[in-house]
Amino acid sequence: MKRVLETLLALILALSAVPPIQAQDWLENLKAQPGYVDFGNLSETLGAEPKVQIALGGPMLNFLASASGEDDPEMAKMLQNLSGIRVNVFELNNGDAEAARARVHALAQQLVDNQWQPTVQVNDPKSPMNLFIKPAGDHIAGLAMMVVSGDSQAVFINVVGNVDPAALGRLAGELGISMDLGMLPSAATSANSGDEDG
Amino acid sequence: MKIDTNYCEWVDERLETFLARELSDAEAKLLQTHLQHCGHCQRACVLAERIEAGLRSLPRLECPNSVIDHVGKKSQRRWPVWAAAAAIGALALGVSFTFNQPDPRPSRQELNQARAELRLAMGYIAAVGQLASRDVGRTITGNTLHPIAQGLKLQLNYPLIEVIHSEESQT
Repeated sequence: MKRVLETLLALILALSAVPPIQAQDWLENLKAQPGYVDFGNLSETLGAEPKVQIALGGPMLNFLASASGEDDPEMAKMLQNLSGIRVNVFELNNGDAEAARARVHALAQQLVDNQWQPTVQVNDPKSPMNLFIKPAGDHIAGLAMMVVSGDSQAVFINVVGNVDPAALGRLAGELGISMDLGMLPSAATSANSGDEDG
Repeated sequence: MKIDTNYCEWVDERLETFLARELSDAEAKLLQTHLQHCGHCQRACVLAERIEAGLRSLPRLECPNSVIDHVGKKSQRRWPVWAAAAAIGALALGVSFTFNQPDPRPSRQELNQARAELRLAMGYIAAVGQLASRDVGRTITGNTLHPIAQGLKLQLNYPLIEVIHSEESQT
């Protein structure tokens, strides 16, 4: 009996060393969703670690939704419908800007090939900007934003899930920290702006 | 605290616990109050005290080794290898299931951290949108996706556009 108990104890200790299902499992689930964008290894591509790296998964977004349910039902509903929010912001050094622009261009092409819909595309050689959505039936399954500001900064954003752009736009304006990305206006300053017709 | 109207029965059920000094203060006080007025329960209490004292006064006997061996063999026989393995397996499954439960609710600190990250993420989304709105001002016309336009108009204040070519904007 003593031997049995010792064996049991050893087994319990061994099992306790086994890591539980990782919190990163939500990331694996996210990757399987149509609205997910694989930006690739941006750190390796840009030769720098991100200045800002945010990865909020479905479980945490649900908790945030629960926490804000009474105060802001619209935000709670929007958060509940989302599966993930990923933001990567890089400060660029000299040679990185070209790599960032090339990466944005490649990603844009990749998204087009994967039936993403471009909604804003600025093919500025110095400051490209791309905003894509992933249509899925009667709703939007994902949102991708990629922008390079001159030689200073690159931002990659991916919102995954049933995106409500109206709610997202409102909440981004209300909830978001007011910030100036420090981006120089792109072709608007290098060209005469005001030509709005095609 | 509700007490049975038949106090004697109530006392009788708690007498042993009372003598072991394990009764709550409130119940002990009630019991003692009843004992002061009930001769039947007084006699029952005295008898219980005598029995307990008598049991405590009995000599402590050592258990013969033959009995220990006999009980040990019987308990071993009750735990054959396959039964022990089954018990271990069941326990392992239970522990594994416990460890593989969904993540528990985040702590307040984690939630506050997530809130801050959400605000930061929304800030960047808004900032990129505002930047797009500056560029949209010089865009050419194009097809729009109405749901997107409805939402992004809050930031862009322009209808959606097609590709902007910086060369075209210079002409």
